[in-house]
Amino acid sequence: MKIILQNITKSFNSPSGDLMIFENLNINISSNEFVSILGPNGCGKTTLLNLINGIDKDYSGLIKIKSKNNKQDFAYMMQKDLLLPWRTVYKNIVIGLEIDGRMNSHTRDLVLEYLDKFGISNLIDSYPMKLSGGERQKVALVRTLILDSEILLLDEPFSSIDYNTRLELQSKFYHLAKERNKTVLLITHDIDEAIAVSDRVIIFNQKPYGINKDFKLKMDIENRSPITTRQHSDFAKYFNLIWNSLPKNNNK
Amino acid sequence: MKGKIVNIILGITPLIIFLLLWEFVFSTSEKSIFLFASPSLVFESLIENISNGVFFTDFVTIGLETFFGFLLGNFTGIIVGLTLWYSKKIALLSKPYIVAIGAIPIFAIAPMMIIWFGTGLFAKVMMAAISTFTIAVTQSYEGAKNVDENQIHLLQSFGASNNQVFTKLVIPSSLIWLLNSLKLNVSFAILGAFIGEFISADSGLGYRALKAGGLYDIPLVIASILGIVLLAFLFSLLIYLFEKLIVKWK
Repeated sequence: MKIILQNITKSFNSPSGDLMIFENLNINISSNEFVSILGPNGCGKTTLLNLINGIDKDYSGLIKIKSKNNKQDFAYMMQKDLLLPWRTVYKNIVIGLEIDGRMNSHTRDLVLEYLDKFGISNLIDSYPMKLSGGERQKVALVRTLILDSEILLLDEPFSSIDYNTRLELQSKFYHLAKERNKTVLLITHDIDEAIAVSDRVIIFNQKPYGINKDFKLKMDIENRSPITTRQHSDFAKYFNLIWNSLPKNNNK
Repeated sequence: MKGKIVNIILGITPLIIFLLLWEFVFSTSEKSIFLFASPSLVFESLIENISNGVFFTDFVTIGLETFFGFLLGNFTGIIVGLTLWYSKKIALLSKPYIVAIGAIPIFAIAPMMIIWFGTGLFAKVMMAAISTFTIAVTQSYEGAKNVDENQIHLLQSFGASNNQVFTKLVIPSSLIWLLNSLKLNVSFAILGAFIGEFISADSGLGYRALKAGGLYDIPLVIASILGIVLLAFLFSLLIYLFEKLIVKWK
Protein backbone atom coordinates (compact mmCIF):
# COMPACT_ATOMS: atom_id res chain seq x y z
CA MET A 1 0.00 0.00 0.00
CA LYS A 2 1.34 3.36 -1.05
CA ILE A 3 0.78 6.79 0.45
CA ILE A 4 0.99 9.72 -1.93
CA LEU A 5 0.71 13.34 -0.83
CA GLN A 6 0.60 15.85 -3.66
CA ASN A 7 0.81 19.62 -3.24
CA ILE A 8 -0.61 19.61 0.24
CA THR A 9 -1.26 23.08 1.60
CA LYS A 10 -2.52 23.43 5.12
CA SER A 11 -2.91 26.43 7.40
CA PHE A 12 -4.45 27.15 10.79
CA ASN A 13 -6.26 30.28 11.91
CA SER A 14 -4.38 32.12 14.62
CA PRO A 15 -4.93 35.51 16.31
CA SER A 16 -2.16 36.96 14.14
CA GLY A 17 -3.74 35.65 10.92
CA ASP A 18 -3.39 32.42 8.98
CA LEU A 19 -0.51 30.25 10.12
CA MET A 20 0.81 28.30 7.15
CA ILE A 21 1.90 24.78 8.10
CA PHE A 22 2.51 23.18 4.70
CA GLU A 23 2.77 24.76 1.30
CA ASN A 24 2.81 22.36 -1.64
CA LEU A 25 4.14 19.46 0.39
CA ASN A 26 4.89 16.32 -1.60
CA ILE A 27 5.69 12.96 -0.05
CA ASN A 28 5.56 9.47 -1.53
CA ILE A 29 5.78 6.48 0.74
CA SER A 30 6.17 3.10 -0.91
CA SER A 31 4.53 -0.14 0.12
CA ASN A 32 6.14 -1.87 3.09
CA GLU A 33 8.39 1.11 3.71
CA PHE A 34 9.17 2.17 7.28
CA VAL A 35 9.46 5.96 7.28
CA SER A 36 10.24 8.20 10.23
CA ILE A 37 9.61 11.91 10.36
CA LEU A 38 11.82 14.08 12.53
CA GLY A 39 11.54 17.79 13.12
CA PRO A 40 11.20 20.57 15.66
CA ASN A 41 8.08 21.09 17.76
CA GLY A 42 5.21 22.66 15.88
CA CYS A 43 6.52 21.83 12.42
CA GLY A 44 3.36 19.93 11.51
CA LYS A 45 4.35 16.31 12.13
CA THR A 46 1.15 15.40 13.96
CA THR A 47 -0.89 17.54 11.56
CA LEU A 48 0.48 15.41 8.74
CA LEU A 49 -0.82 12.22 10.38
CA ASN A 50 -4.20 13.84 11.02
CA LEU A 51 -4.43 14.74 7.34
CA ILE A 52 -3.54 11.24 6.23
CA ASN A 53 -5.95 9.47 8.57
CA GLY A 54 -8.77 11.86 7.72
CA ILE A 55 -9.27 13.43 11.16
CA ASP A 56 -8.38 16.79 9.63
CA LYS A 57 -10.02 17.35 6.26
CA ASP A 58 -9.34 21.07 5.98
CA TYR A 59 -6.50 21.20 3.44
CA SER A 60 -5.90 21.57 -0.25
CA GLY A 61 -3.98 19.12 -2.40
CA LEU A 62 -4.34 15.41 -2.88
CA ILE A 63 -3.80 12.51 -0.49
CA LYS A 64 -3.93 9.14 -2.18
CA ILE A 65 -3.76 5.81 -0.40
CA LYS A 66 -3.16 3.25 -3.10
CA SER A 67 -4.01 -0.30 -2.19
CA LYS A 68 -5.10 -3.49 -3.91
CA ASN A 69 -8.64 -3.26 -2.55
CA ASN A 70 -8.70 0.54 -2.93
CA LYS A 71 -9.63 0.85 0.75
CA GLN A 72 -8.09 3.40 3.08
CA ASP A 73 -6.79 0.91 5.57
CA PHE A 74 -4.76 2.39 8.38
CA ALA A 75 -4.35 2.23 12.13
CA TYR A 76 -3.34 5.22 14.22
CA MET A 77 -1.44 5.28 17.50
CA MET A 78 -0.79 8.42 19.49
CA GLN A 79 1.80 9.37 22.07
CA LYS A 80 -0.67 8.92 24.92
CA ASP A 81 -1.96 5.37 25.25
CA LEU A 82 -5.57 6.68 25.48
CA LEU A 83 -6.79 3.48 27.09
CA LEU A 84 -10.38 3.73 28.25
CA PRO A 85 -10.36 3.19 32.03
CA TRP A 86 -13.76 1.47 32.13
CA ARG A 87 -12.70 -1.21 29.66
CA THR A 88 -10.48 -4.16 30.46
CA VAL A 89 -7.28 -4.72 28.48
CA TYR A 90 -9.20 -7.11 26.22
CA LYS A 91 -12.07 -4.68 25.66
CA ASN A 92 -9.63 -1.83 25.00
CA ILE A 93 -7.77 -3.86 22.42
CA VAL A 94 -10.84 -4.92 20.50
CA ILE A 95 -12.54 -1.52 20.37
CA GLY A 96 -11.39 -0.93 16.79
CA LEU A 97 -12.66 -4.36 15.75
CA GLU A 98 -15.99 -3.69 17.51
CA ILE A 99 -16.41 -0.42 15.65
CA ASP A 100 -15.54 -2.10 12.37
CA GLY A 101 -17.90 -5.03 13.07
CA ARG A 102 -15.07 -7.56 12.95
CA MET A 103 -15.57 -9.33 16.29
CA ASN A 104 -15.90 -13.10 16.11
CA SER A 105 -15.43 -16.22 18.22
CA HIS A 106 -11.67 -16.24 17.59
CA THR A 107 -11.06 -12.64 18.64
CA ARG A 108 -10.08 -13.46 22.22
CA ASP A 109 -7.55 -16.06 21.04
CA LEU A 110 -6.11 -13.52 18.63
CA VAL A 111 -5.80 -10.94 21.41
CA LEU A 112 -4.10 -13.52 23.64
CA GLU A 113 -1.67 -14.36 20.85
CA TYR A 114 -0.68 -10.71 20.46
CA LEU A 115 -0.46 -10.10 24.20
CA ASP A 116 1.72 -13.19 24.48
CA LYS A 117 4.16 -11.70 21.97
CA PHE A 118 4.50 -8.71 24.30
CA GLY A 119 4.65 -10.89 27.44
CA ILE A 120 1.47 -9.54 29.05
CA SER A 121 -1.16 -12.18 28.27
CA ASN A 122 -1.80 -12.51 32.03
CA LEU A 123 -3.21 -8.96 32.02
CA ILE A 124 -6.01 -9.61 29.52
CA ASP A 125 -8.81 -9.07 32.04
CA SER A 126 -7.12 -6.30 34.03
CA TYR A 127 -8.26 -2.70 34.03
CA PRO A 128 -5.79 -0.06 32.75
CA MET A 129 -5.47 1.47 36.23
CA LYS A 130 -3.58 -1.64 37.36
CA LEU A 131 -0.99 -1.41 34.57
CA SER A 132 2.44 0.23 34.52
CA GLY A 133 3.28 2.85 31.88
CA GLY A 134 5.13 0.30 29.75
CA GLU A 135 2.30 -2.23 29.98
CA ARG A 136 -0.23 0.41 28.98
CA GLN A 137 1.84 1.31 25.95
CA LYS A 138 2.10 -2.38 24.98
CA VAL A 139 -1.69 -2.66 25.16
CA ALA A 140 -2.06 0.45 23.00
CA LEU A 141 0.37 -1.05 20.49
CA VAL A 142 -1.55 -4.33 20.38
CA ARG A 143 -4.78 -2.31 19.91
CA THR A 144 -3.15 -0.77 16.83
CA LEU A 145 -1.65 -3.98 15.46
CA ILE A 146 -4.72 -6.17 15.89
CA LEU A 147 -6.58 -4.16 13.26
CA ASP A 148 -4.15 -5.71 10.79
CA SER A 149 -4.16 -2.51 8.78
CA GLU A 150 -1.73 -2.19 5.93
CA ILE A 151 -0.66 1.28 7.02
CA LEU A 152 0.40 2.13 10.57
CA LEU A 153 0.54 5.78 11.57
CA LEU A 154 2.44 6.23 14.82
CA ASP A 155 2.77 9.53 16.65
CA GLU A 156 5.68 9.22 19.13
CA PRO A 157 4.36 5.97 20.57
CA PHE A 158 7.50 5.13 22.52
CA SER A 159 8.39 8.56 23.89
CA SER A 160 6.83 8.29 27.33
CA ILE A 161 8.34 4.99 28.44
CA ASP A 162 11.67 4.06 30.00
CA TYR A 163 14.62 3.24 27.78
CA ASN A 164 14.70 -0.55 28.27
CA THR A 165 10.98 -0.95 27.64
CA ARG A 166 11.32 1.35 24.65
CA LEU A 167 14.02 -0.86 23.10
CA GLU A 168 11.93 -3.96 23.78
CA LEU A 169 8.82 -2.42 22.23
CA GLN A 170 10.71 -1.04 19.24
CA SER A 171 12.18 -4.49 18.53
CA LYS A 172 8.90 -6.34 18.84
CA PHE A 173 7.04 -3.75 16.83
CA TYR A 174 9.74 -3.63 14.14
CA HIS A 175 9.67 -7.40 13.63
CA LEU A 176 5.89 -7.57 13.53
CA ALA A 177 5.71 -4.71 11.04
CA LYS A 178 8.32 -6.28 8.78
CA GLU A 179 6.93 -9.84 9.03
CA ARG A 180 3.47 -8.59 8.10
CA ASN A 181 4.61 -6.20 5.35
CA LYS A 182 3.25 -3.06 6.93
CA THR A 183 3.79 0.44 5.62
CA VAL A 184 4.75 2.52 8.64
CA LEU A 185 4.88 6.27 9.16
CA LEU A 186 6.47 7.08 12.52
CA ILE A 187 6.63 10.55 14.05
CA THR A 188 9.48 10.84 16.51
CA HIS A 189 11.80 13.28 18.25
CA ASP A 190 14.40 10.61 18.81
CA ILE A 191 17.15 10.38 16.15
CA ASP A 192 18.34 7.01 17.56
CA GLU A 193 14.86 5.58 17.25
CA ALA A 194 14.39 6.91 13.73
CA ILE A 195 17.65 5.31 12.51
CA ALA A 196 17.09 2.08 14.46
CA VAL A 197 13.75 1.22 12.89
CA SER A 198 13.45 3.09 9.60
CA ASP A 199 14.20 2.50 5.95
CA ARG A 200 13.92 6.22 5.40
CA VAL A 201 14.06 9.34 7.55
CA ILE A 202 12.40 12.59 6.51
CA ILE A 203 13.41 15.76 8.32
CA PHE A 204 10.94 18.62 8.52
CA ASN A 205 11.96 22.26 8.53
CA GLN A 206 11.11 24.90 11.00
CA LYS A 207 9.46 27.87 9.22
CA PRO A 208 9.00 27.70 6.27
CA TYR A 209 7.63 24.21 7.02
CA GLY A 210 8.15 21.31 4.70
CA ILE A 211 10.81 18.75 3.93
CA ASN A 212 14.35 19.73 4.75
CA LYS A 213 16.11 16.42 4.02
CA ASP A 214 15.05 12.93 3.00
CA PHE A 215 17.50 10.12 3.81
CA LYS A 216 17.28 6.55 2.60
CA LEU A 217 19.08 4.46 5.17
CA LYS A 218 21.19 1.79 3.52
CA MET A 219 22.73 -0.51 6.08
CA ASP A 220 23.84 -3.94 5.13
CA ILE A 221 22.70 -5.84 8.22
CA GLU A 222 21.73 -9.48 8.32
CA ASN A 223 18.61 -10.03 10.49
CA ARG A 224 18.20 -6.32 11.04
CA SER A 225 16.62 -5.23 14.30
CA PRO A 226 16.61 -1.95 16.25
CA ILE A 227 19.39 -3.41 18.44
CA THR A 228 21.66 -4.66 15.63
CA THR A 229 21.16 -1.36 13.78
CA ARG A 230 22.35 0.54 16.81
CA GLN A 231 25.43 -1.70 16.91
CA HIS A 232 26.25 -1.15 13.24
CA SER A 233 29.18 1.07 12.24
CA ASP A 234 26.97 3.18 9.93
CA PHE A 235 24.69 4.13 12.81
CA ALA A 236 26.99 6.97 13.94
CA LYS A 237 27.35 8.17 10.33
CA TYR A 238 23.58 8.51 9.91
CA PHE A 239 23.25 10.02 13.35
CA ASN A 240 25.69 12.80 12.37
CA LEU A 241 24.00 13.35 9.02
CA ILE A 242 20.57 13.68 10.61
CA TRP A 243 21.81 15.71 13.57
CA ASN A 244 23.47 18.19 11.23
CA SER A 245 20.32 18.44 9.10
CA LEU A 246 17.95 19.22 11.94
CA PRO A 247 16.95 22.90 12.11
CA LYS A 248 19.51 25.00 13.99
CA ASN A 249 17.57 25.86 17.12
CA ASN A 250 17.48 22.13 17.83
CA ASN A 251 21.26 21.81 17.48
CA LYS A 252 22.17 23.87 20.54
CA MET B 1 -10.02 -2.36 63.37
CA LYS B 2 -9.00 -0.27 66.39
CA GLY B 3 -8.74 2.80 64.14
CA LYS B 4 -12.25 2.15 62.80
CA ILE B 5 -13.72 1.97 66.31
CA VAL B 6 -11.94 5.21 67.25
CA ASN B 7 -13.33 6.87 64.10
CA ILE B 8 -16.87 5.72 64.91
CA ILE B 9 -16.54 7.04 68.48
CA LEU B 10 -15.16 10.34 67.17
CA GLY B 11 -17.98 10.52 64.63
CA ILE B 12 -20.86 10.06 67.09
CA THR B 13 -19.37 12.05 69.98
CA PRO B 14 -20.62 15.46 68.71
CA LEU B 15 -24.11 13.97 68.23
CA ILE B 16 -24.17 12.56 71.77
CA ILE B 17 -22.94 15.88 73.22
CA PHE B 18 -25.61 17.73 71.20
CA LEU B 19 -28.37 15.39 72.41
CA LEU B 20 -27.22 15.62 76.05
CA LEU B 21 -27.07 19.44 75.92
CA TRP B 22 -30.47 19.54 74.24
CA GLU B 23 -32.04 17.20 76.81
CA PHE B 24 -30.46 18.49 80.00
CA VAL B 25 -29.52 22.11 79.32
CA PHE B 26 -31.89 23.61 76.75
CA SER B 27 -35.05 21.66 77.55
CA THR B 28 -35.36 22.33 81.24
CA SER B 29 -38.33 24.73 81.31
CA GLU B 30 -41.83 24.23 79.97
CA LYS B 31 -41.36 27.11 77.55
CA SER B 32 -38.18 25.69 76.06
CA ILE B 33 -39.75 22.22 75.84
CA PHE B 34 -42.68 23.80 73.99
CA LEU B 35 -40.36 25.61 71.60
CA PHE B 36 -37.60 23.05 71.06
CA ALA B 37 -39.04 19.78 72.42
CA SER B 38 -36.42 17.37 73.73
CA PRO B 39 -34.73 14.20 72.46
CA SER B 40 -36.81 12.03 74.78
CA LEU B 41 -40.06 13.60 73.57
CA VAL B 42 -39.02 13.22 69.93
CA PHE B 43 -38.16 9.59 70.67
CA GLU B 44 -41.57 9.04 72.30
CA SER B 45 -43.29 10.63 69.31
CA LEU B 46 -41.29 8.43 66.95
CA ILE B 47 -42.20 5.25 68.84
CA GLU B 48 -45.86 6.22 68.98
CA ASN B 49 -46.07 6.99 65.24
CA ILE B 50 -44.09 3.93 64.26
CA SER B 51 -46.24 1.62 66.38
CA ASN B 52 -49.53 2.99 65.00
CA GLY B 53 -48.21 2.71 61.42
CA VAL B 54 -48.53 6.44 60.58
CA PHE B 55 -44.83 7.00 60.31
CA PHE B 56 -44.40 3.99 58.02
CA THR B 57 -47.17 5.18 55.66
CA ASP B 58 -45.72 8.69 55.59
CA PHE B 59 -42.20 7.38 55.00
CA VAL B 60 -43.29 5.11 52.14
CA THR B 61 -45.36 7.91 50.57
CA ILE B 62 -42.55 10.45 50.45
CA GLY B 63 -40.11 7.65 49.59
CA LEU B 64 -42.13 6.72 46.48
CA GLU B 65 -42.63 10.34 45.44
CA THR B 66 -38.93 11.00 45.78
CA PHE B 67 -37.88 7.77 44.12
CA PHE B 68 -40.02 8.13 41.00
CA GLY B 69 -39.37 11.87 40.75
CA PHE B 70 -35.66 11.26 41.16
CA LEU B 71 -35.71 8.62 38.41
CA LEU B 72 -37.81 10.70 36.03
CA GLY B 73 -35.88 13.95 36.56
CA ASN B 74 -32.47 12.36 36.31
CA PHE B 75 -33.37 10.12 33.40
CA THR B 76 -34.77 12.93 31.25
CA GLY B 77 -32.10 15.39 32.39
CA ILE B 78 -29.26 12.97 31.65
CA ILE B 79 -30.66 12.14 28.21
CA VAL B 80 -31.05 15.84 27.35
CA GLY B 81 -27.60 16.73 28.75
CA LEU B 82 -25.77 13.91 26.99
CA THR B 83 -27.47 14.38 23.64
CA LEU B 84 -26.49 18.06 23.66
CA TRP B 85 -23.01 16.67 22.92
CA TYR B 86 -24.13 16.11 19.33
CA SER B 87 -24.48 19.82 18.64
CA LYS B 88 -22.50 22.61 20.29
CA LYS B 89 -24.83 25.11 18.65
CA ILE B 90 -27.97 23.61 20.17
CA ALA B 91 -26.15 23.34 23.51
CA LEU B 92 -25.34 27.04 23.34
CA LEU B 93 -28.85 28.04 22.31
CA SER B 94 -30.49 25.92 24.99
CA LYS B 95 -28.27 27.18 27.81
CA PRO B 96 -30.49 30.17 28.79
CA TYR B 97 -33.55 27.93 28.86
CA ILE B 98 -31.82 25.44 31.12
CA VAL B 99 -30.64 28.24 33.40
CA ALA B 100 -34.19 29.64 33.45
CA ILE B 101 -35.70 26.28 34.42
CA GLY B 102 -33.07 25.93 37.14
CA ALA B 103 -33.81 29.40 38.48
CA ILE B 104 -37.56 28.82 38.97
CA PRO B 105 -38.30 28.46 42.68
CA ILE B 106 -40.02 25.09 43.02
CA PHE B 107 -42.41 26.60 45.57
CA ALA B 108 -43.68 29.03 42.91
CA ILE B 109 -44.74 26.33 40.49
CA ALA B 110 -46.18 23.98 43.10
CA PRO B 111 -49.75 25.36 42.84
CA MET B 112 -49.67 24.88 39.05
CA MET B 113 -48.48 21.32 39.53
CA ILE B 114 -51.52 20.63 41.68
CA ILE B 115 -53.80 22.14 39.00
CA TRP B 116 -52.11 20.20 36.18
CA PHE B 117 -51.48 16.88 37.85
CA GLY B 118 -53.99 16.76 40.70
CA THR B 119 -53.39 16.27 44.38
CA GLY B 120 -52.17 12.69 44.21
CA LEU B 121 -48.76 11.08 44.07
CA PHE B 122 -48.05 12.13 40.48
CA ALA B 123 -47.96 15.87 41.25
CA LYS B 124 -45.27 15.29 43.92
CA VAL B 125 -43.36 13.02 41.56
CA MET B 126 -43.35 15.84 39.02
CA MET B 127 -42.21 18.32 41.69
CA ALA B 128 -39.30 16.04 42.58
CA ALA B 129 -38.52 15.47 38.88
CA ILE B 130 -38.43 19.19 38.06
CA SER B 131 -36.23 19.81 41.10
CA THR B 132 -33.63 17.38 39.80
CA PHE B 133 -33.85 18.04 36.05
CA THR B 134 -31.53 21.06 35.73
CA ILE B 135 -28.67 19.55 37.70
CA ALA B 136 -28.96 16.33 35.72
CA VAL B 137 -28.81 18.29 32.43
CA THR B 138 -25.86 20.49 33.39
CA GLN B 139 -23.82 17.73 35.01
CA SER B 140 -24.29 15.28 32.16
CA TYR B 141 -23.57 17.93 29.54
CA GLU B 142 -20.40 18.94 31.39
CA GLY B 143 -19.37 15.27 31.44
CA ALA B 144 -20.04 14.86 27.73
CA LYS B 145 -18.28 18.13 26.89
CA ASN B 146 -15.17 17.16 28.79
CA VAL B 147 -14.51 13.93 26.90
CA ASP B 148 -10.85 13.82 25.83
CA GLU B 149 -10.61 15.09 22.22
CA ASN B 150 -7.74 12.67 21.58
CA GLN B 151 -9.94 9.73 22.55
CA ILE B 152 -12.58 10.97 20.12
CA HIS B 153 -9.91 11.20 17.40
CA LEU B 154 -8.71 7.70 18.24
CA LEU B 155 -12.20 6.25 17.80
CA GLN B 156 -12.69 8.26 14.63
CA SER B 157 -9.43 6.83 13.30
CA PHE B 158 -11.03 3.37 13.78
CA GLY B 159 -13.88 4.60 11.58
CA ALA B 160 -16.36 5.25 14.41
CA SER B 161 -19.56 7.08 13.54
CA ASN B 162 -20.88 9.85 15.79
CA ASN B 163 -23.30 7.39 17.38
CA GLN B 164 -20.48 4.93 18.08
CA VAL B 165 -18.37 7.68 19.65
CA PHE B 166 -21.42 8.59 21.75
CA THR B 167 -22.18 5.08 23.00
CA LYS B 168 -18.63 3.76 23.35
CA LEU B 169 -16.95 6.90 24.66
CA VAL B 170 -19.18 9.82 25.63
CA ILE B 171 -21.63 7.90 27.83
CA PRO B 172 -19.09 5.82 29.80
CA SER B 173 -16.70 8.74 30.01
CA SER B 174 -19.43 10.92 31.56
CA LEU B 175 -20.34 8.30 34.12
CA ILE B 176 -18.54 10.00 37.01
CA TRP B 177 -20.40 13.23 36.22
CA LEU B 178 -23.70 11.37 36.04
CA LEU B 179 -23.07 9.78 39.41
CA ASN B 180 -22.25 13.19 40.86
CA SER B 181 -25.55 14.43 39.47
CA LEU B 182 -27.37 11.57 41.23
CA LYS B 183 -25.61 12.35 44.51
CA LEU B 184 -26.42 16.05 44.32
CA ASN B 185 -30.01 15.38 43.33
CA VAL B 186 -30.94 13.23 46.33
CA SER B 187 -31.65 16.26 48.48
CA PHE B 188 -33.32 18.17 45.61
CA ALA B 189 -35.70 15.28 44.88
CA ILE B 190 -36.63 15.03 48.57
CA LEU B 191 -37.13 18.80 48.73
CA GLY B 192 -39.40 18.72 45.67
CA ALA B 193 -41.58 15.96 47.12
CA PHE B 194 -41.57 17.64 50.53
CA ILE B 195 -42.78 20.96 49.11
CA GLY B 196 -45.40 19.11 47.06
CA GLU B 197 -46.76 17.64 50.27
CA PHE B 198 -46.76 21.07 51.88
CA ILE B 199 -49.10 22.33 49.16
CA SER B 200 -51.54 19.46 49.06
CA ALA B 201 -51.39 15.96 50.51
CA ASP B 202 -53.03 13.57 52.93
CA SER B 203 -49.93 11.58 53.85
CA GLY B 204 -46.17 11.82 53.68
CA LEU B 205 -43.55 13.24 55.99
CA GLY B 206 -43.90 16.74 54.52
CA TYR B 207 -47.62 16.68 55.13
CA ARG B 208 -47.04 15.27 58.64
CA ALA B 209 -44.50 17.99 59.51
CA LEU B 210 -46.83 20.72 58.26
CA LYS B 211 -49.82 19.30 60.15
CA ALA B 212 -47.78 18.80 63.33
CA GLY B 213 -46.44 22.36 63.07
CA GLY B 214 -49.98 23.68 62.86
CA LEU B 215 -50.78 21.83 66.10
CA TYR B 216 -47.54 23.00 67.79
CA ASP B 217 -46.48 19.37 68.02
CA ILE B 218 -42.76 20.10 67.78
CA PRO B 219 -41.64 16.53 68.68
CA LEU B 220 -43.57 15.21 65.66
CA VAL B 221 -42.16 17.95 63.40
CA ILE B 222 -38.65 16.91 64.43
CA ALA B 223 -39.53 13.20 64.12
CA SER B 224 -40.70 13.91 60.54
CA ILE B 225 -37.44 15.71 59.81
CA LEU B 226 -35.55 12.71 61.16
CA GLY B 227 -37.53 10.53 58.77
CA ILE B 228 -36.44 12.81 55.89
CA VAL B 229 -32.83 12.51 57.01
CA LEU B 230 -33.19 8.72 57.10
CA LEU B 231 -34.63 8.81 53.57
CA ALA B 232 -31.66 10.88 52.36
CA PHE B 233 -29.27 8.36 53.95
CA LEU B 234 -31.07 5.47 52.26
CA PHE B 235 -30.93 7.15 48.85
CA SER B 236 -27.26 7.98 49.31
CA LEU B 237 -26.59 4.36 50.27
CA LEU B 238 -28.44 3.13 47.16
CA ILE B 239 -26.36 5.44 44.95
CA TYR B 240 -23.17 4.31 46.68
CA LEU B 241 -24.08 0.66 45.99
CA PHE B 242 -25.03 1.50 42.41
CA GLU B 243 -21.67 3.23 41.94
CA LYS B 244 -19.84 0.19 43.34
CA LEU B 245 -21.79 -2.02 40.95
CA ILE B 246 -21.05 -0.12 37.76
CA VAL B 247 -17.69 1.54 38.43
CA LYS B 248 -15.63 -1.62 38.59
CA TRP B 249 -12.39 -0.26 37.22
CA LYS B 250 -11.38 1.86 40.24
